[in-house]
Amino acid sequence: MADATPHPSNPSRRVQFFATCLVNDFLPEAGIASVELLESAGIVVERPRGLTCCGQPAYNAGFRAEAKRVARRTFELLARTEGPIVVPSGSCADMLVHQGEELFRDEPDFLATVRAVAARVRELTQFLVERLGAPAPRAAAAPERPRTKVAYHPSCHLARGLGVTKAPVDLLAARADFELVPVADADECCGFGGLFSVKQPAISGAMLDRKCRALEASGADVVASCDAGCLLQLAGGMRRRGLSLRACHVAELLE
Amino acid sequence: MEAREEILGRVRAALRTARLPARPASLSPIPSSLEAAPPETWRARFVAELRALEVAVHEEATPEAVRARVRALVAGRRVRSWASAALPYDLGATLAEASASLLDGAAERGALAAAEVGVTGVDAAIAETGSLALVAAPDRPRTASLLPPKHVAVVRRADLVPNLRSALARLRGAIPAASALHLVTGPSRSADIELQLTLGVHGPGELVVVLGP
Amino acid sequence: MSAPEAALPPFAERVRAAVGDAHLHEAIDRATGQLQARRAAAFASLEAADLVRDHARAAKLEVLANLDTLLEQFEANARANGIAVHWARDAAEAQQLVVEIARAAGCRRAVKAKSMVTEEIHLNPALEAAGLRVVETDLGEYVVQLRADRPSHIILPIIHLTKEDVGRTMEERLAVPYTSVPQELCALARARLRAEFLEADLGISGGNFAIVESGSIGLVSNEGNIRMVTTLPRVHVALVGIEKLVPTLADWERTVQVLARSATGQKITVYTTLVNGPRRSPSDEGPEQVHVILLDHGRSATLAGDEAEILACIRCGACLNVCPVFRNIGGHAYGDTYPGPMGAVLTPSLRGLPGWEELPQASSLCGACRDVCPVRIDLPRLLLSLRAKAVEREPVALAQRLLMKAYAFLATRPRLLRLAMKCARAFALRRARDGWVARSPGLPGLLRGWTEQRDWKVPAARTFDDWWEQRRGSA
Repeated sequence: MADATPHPSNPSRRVQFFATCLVNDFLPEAGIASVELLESAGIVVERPRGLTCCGQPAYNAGFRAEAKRVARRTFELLARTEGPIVVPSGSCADMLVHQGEELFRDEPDFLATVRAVAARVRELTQFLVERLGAPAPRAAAAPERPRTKVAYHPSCHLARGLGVTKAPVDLLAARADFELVPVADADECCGFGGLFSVKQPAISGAMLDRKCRALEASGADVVASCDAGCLLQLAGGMRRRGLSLRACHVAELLE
Repeated sequence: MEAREEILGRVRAALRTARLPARPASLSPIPSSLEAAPPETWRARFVAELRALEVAVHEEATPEAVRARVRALVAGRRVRSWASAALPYDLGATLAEASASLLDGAAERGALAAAEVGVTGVDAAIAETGSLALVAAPDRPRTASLLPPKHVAVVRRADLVPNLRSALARLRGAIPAASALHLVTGPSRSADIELQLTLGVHGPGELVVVLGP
Repeated sequence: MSAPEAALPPFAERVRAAVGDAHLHEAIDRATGQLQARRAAAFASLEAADLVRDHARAAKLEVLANLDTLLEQFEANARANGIAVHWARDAAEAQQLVVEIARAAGCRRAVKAKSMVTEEIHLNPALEAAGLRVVETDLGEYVVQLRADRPSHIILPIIHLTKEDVGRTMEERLAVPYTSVPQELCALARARLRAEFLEADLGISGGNFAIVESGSIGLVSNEGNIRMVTTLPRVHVALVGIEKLVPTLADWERTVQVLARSATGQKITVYTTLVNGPRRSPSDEGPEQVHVILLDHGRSATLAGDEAEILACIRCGACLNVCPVFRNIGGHAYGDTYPGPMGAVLTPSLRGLPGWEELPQASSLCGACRDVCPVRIDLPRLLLSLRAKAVEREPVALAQRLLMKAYAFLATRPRLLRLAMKCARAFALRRARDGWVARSPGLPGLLRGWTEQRDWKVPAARTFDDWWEQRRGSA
């Protein structure tokens, strides 16, 4: 573990970490890398107990009663804490920041809680750049050193929902050992869309085909994203199509 | 219940429960650098837009030169035009002399369909988009700019306005009385087949602008 | 309310057919790619583009918020111009009105400009049944009519056809020598349709805009057929959805240009027309009669609900061109007049959810549509709203209900969730290689859907929570 100089008395150096259900169960290494990244930047990371899911799967499927049950509990747990809430997932962050407002619009009393929590939520790279400033791009290392070709995949909820487009790219570009390669139609959705991926597999698969072709054509060694859903879609898709590209979370690359 | 009453009733009832996003209290006016620019620049912009639309442009320095140009464009052709009194630069006489035949008033279908060149003035010429504003009226027949395969539009410097909203401001008085206002921007075109551009699908495939003093 | 016709195959089948059609895919992809790029360039060069969009949105929202009074004002102003104003509650009433107007004026031959609303109400078959000859005059719609096909894009109706397809259609239906050169095909259509224009006694159009202040109808076309249809026949009938109003000429001026930029990347459409009324005198040109039919057909019902915002749509098609779902399945798979993101909201709104509830499901909610909408309609919010409505009001598969209940149950009980995930892991391991489950027979529901297209990752042995608790001691 990187050494850190925690200042427990200074609240601005303490954050609440919400791993999210997909990271917890399918990409724990991304969660671990996120925590280690934060700590090496001198942040004290706390994990509120009992956090599970933001409620998005039910919400996106139109099951608002079920979504409310899950989301309400999550908002209440987070409301009992203080400080920034850092989330290593663009779509979960967007759920908390924007969709909670919509989901609970018929409960004005609970909305105060929702809004207070929403104001504290940051996606991981968004938090890093906001809090620590955009990193200065470093000069290239020795030219003979091979650089890893990284393709960045902007997850839709992160880019369009939260408006976070530069932070992950700036963080990756600052690394001397990475070369960021452009991808055709980079902004296009990978086809995950939560349950859409299993309820509309033909369309999801067609979108995944396009994305895999574009990634392969980019010549990247690895595709990085800030969303576990996208990563599962991309990793599973590239594996099925026999591509050698790796998929990993931005936090893992930066760590 | 009559349809009108029922529909209006439904709409009124709907508005009680409609979920409509809030509107801003006020919006700043939309700026236009072309409006703010000196009028001399409008002419150059107009010509540039026309050329980009594949419109042939002839800039003529004098009314005589305009008439000579139009004479050349209609020589020996069957012409459908605005009424003489509505045309600029006394073009009525030019058309009567140079054309093979001239229809400048009410005319029957067959003759209209046989016209080869349409000649009109404009009620305004819009620099920003290269558009011609044509108010429909008995002395400004619509078919002149619509049926023949070639349309010659004669524009005076005084017709130039920077943008569509200035054109509307200028024509505000004329519009209510007219049966229609037509804005023409370039020759007729279609890209329906494989997105390949074709000109002259229904309207004139060739648009010529003669820009006089 | 109208559920899809019985002849329409189920959505899943339509989707599979479309996804598997490489030729369709390539055509749609290329065309939408170009339109996307043109739109982007047109907005990059538009001065104060965001402010222009704000104004366009404000105008449409003002219309919706005051629709009753504005409809009355439009009617009064249009009548003052000499336009006859009619009202139609539904498709049958609108069809009947057109037939009556034609009969009263002794019209037998109609020429039609492209109009989505006339497709929505299936106008042509009703007119033909009443003995009228109806010819589509927009080039793409003309080809669609010759083929007895349906348009696949609201701006480019034959985006799904190659020039060879068009050539063969014209050869068969018009008895002309085969050619696939677009210029020649257009010349053929021009000649045929010119004859129709000159003979027709009835012109039928839609209306891109109905301007309240001036009582006019705003129409746009690039070909010139709309000018023909609204000039040559004795009678002109315009069908306009009640939501198509804009308050003033200033609003029209802004919105008509934003429509052009969004739809095709042009600054303005070649023929941008304001129809004020019939000819002003016997020596004037233009129709003797101009009629407007204001159509409800589900719009007031839509206005009453949570998806009212969709009525601000100006039918530019920009959302279609950026939608990865539309770009993969094309327009026909949506099964009705309006495809793409706006169609996925408008169709179930106008026709009712029964039979159409899958359309709002066919989206990954990526939000690309919202980004390009010239009037900033929050399409993802509307799709989610319809999904919630479907769950409340329509029968949902038991398996899905149980799944969601199980999800809510487990996600609010972390210890049970942890246990459930361990079971899932055990289940997956038995079918996995190197930590991944490939496609295999006998997988249950969700897994089957997933593994149809990609491998599924086995849940981790040591979760993030496990790691955290190990190093922190269950804190």
